[in-house]
Amino acid sequence: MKTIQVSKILILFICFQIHAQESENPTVFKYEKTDEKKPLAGYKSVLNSSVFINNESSAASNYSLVYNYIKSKYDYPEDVIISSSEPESIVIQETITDLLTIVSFGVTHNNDIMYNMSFETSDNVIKCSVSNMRSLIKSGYEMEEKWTDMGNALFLHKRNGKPKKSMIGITDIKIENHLNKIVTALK
Amino acid sequence: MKQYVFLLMFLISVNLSAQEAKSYYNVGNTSTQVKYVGAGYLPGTIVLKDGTELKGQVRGSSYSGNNVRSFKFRTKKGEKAQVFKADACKLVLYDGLIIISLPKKLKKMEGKRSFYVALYYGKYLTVFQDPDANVVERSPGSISFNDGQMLSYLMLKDKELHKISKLRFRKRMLEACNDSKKFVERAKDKKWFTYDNVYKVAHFYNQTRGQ
Repeated sequence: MKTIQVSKILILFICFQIHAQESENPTVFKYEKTDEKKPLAGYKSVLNSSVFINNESSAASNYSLVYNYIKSKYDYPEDVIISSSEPESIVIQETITDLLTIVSFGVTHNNDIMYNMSFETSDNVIKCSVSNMRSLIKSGYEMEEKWTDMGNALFLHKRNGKPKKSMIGITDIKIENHLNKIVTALK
Repeated sequence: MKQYVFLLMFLISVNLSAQEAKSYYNVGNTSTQVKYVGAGYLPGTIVLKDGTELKGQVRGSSYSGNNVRSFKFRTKKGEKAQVFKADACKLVLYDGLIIISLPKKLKKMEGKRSFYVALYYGKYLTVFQDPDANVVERSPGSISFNDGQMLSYLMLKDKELHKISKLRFRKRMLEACNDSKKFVERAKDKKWFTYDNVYKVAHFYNQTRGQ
């Protein structure tokens, strides 16, 4: 009787551990709404900064996998690679045209997004992290262009908690799909 | 006791090599438009001479013309700000820009230091704004293209100073960077090898040096 109880506790513990690991080691990029007490400009939704791609390859093969993916995307991978240390990591800086979409009064505005993505390659796992996400904003009389820090976040809900129809399901999905496409390509 | 001393020295050397390997990237505007350092507090980093990073709020403090002479740093609003001059710093990250500290006398590479706004900061090659460079300005009643564009930059490669101008960009750049076969090969692409693309050109050289 006692052994059955112990085994039940053990199974529960393992399930809890797996669940904890999944939430700590996400496998997809996804925006999650934050619970701010006093939102000033609406409720912020934050993108998880890292995802983990688990496989059974060595660090060297994972590095080659990432490098070959970048090579397949660009004629000159050196253009986007800003730092690399074989076989541990590759950091790229990409500018994606029209990734940030805002629909306002039926008019769609598209802006470019620039971000750094680092691929940390080790045995059996590739860690992809997004940082320095910036959007190109045109402002002023002469439409001066300026890169503005997005901080891996979007304001998808108004101050009263209602979703912003101009963005939700449009911009967040577009960015998630773009980043998850990279993750899928490396699986 | 000796073992502890060796361990300490080992840890310090690892830390130092890690500091040397640290890279800083431009995350802002990479065009050839003239860039200024603002006087409003923004999140930024000051990297001191010894490699220590101070992360907090940064702004330009004193100026001579449009050139910044010192920076103010504080960790939060309300706190008394510290002032940093170029002599104490290696570089400053502010508003997507990298502002590097280099000697005032660039030809001799010695003496008091000044801040220079870098267009591209790299391991082997750095391109930065020349404080004396001409900038395209619109005169009243005339149409001008490339308004605000810098007509020349200074380039630091292997501690040697080069001047690159819009007029003779290709010739000067090739003379300075002919030690990379891959770079020389790509420079044949006239659409890519242009003055307006100097950020990407400099980055490509840094990535392909020795290849």
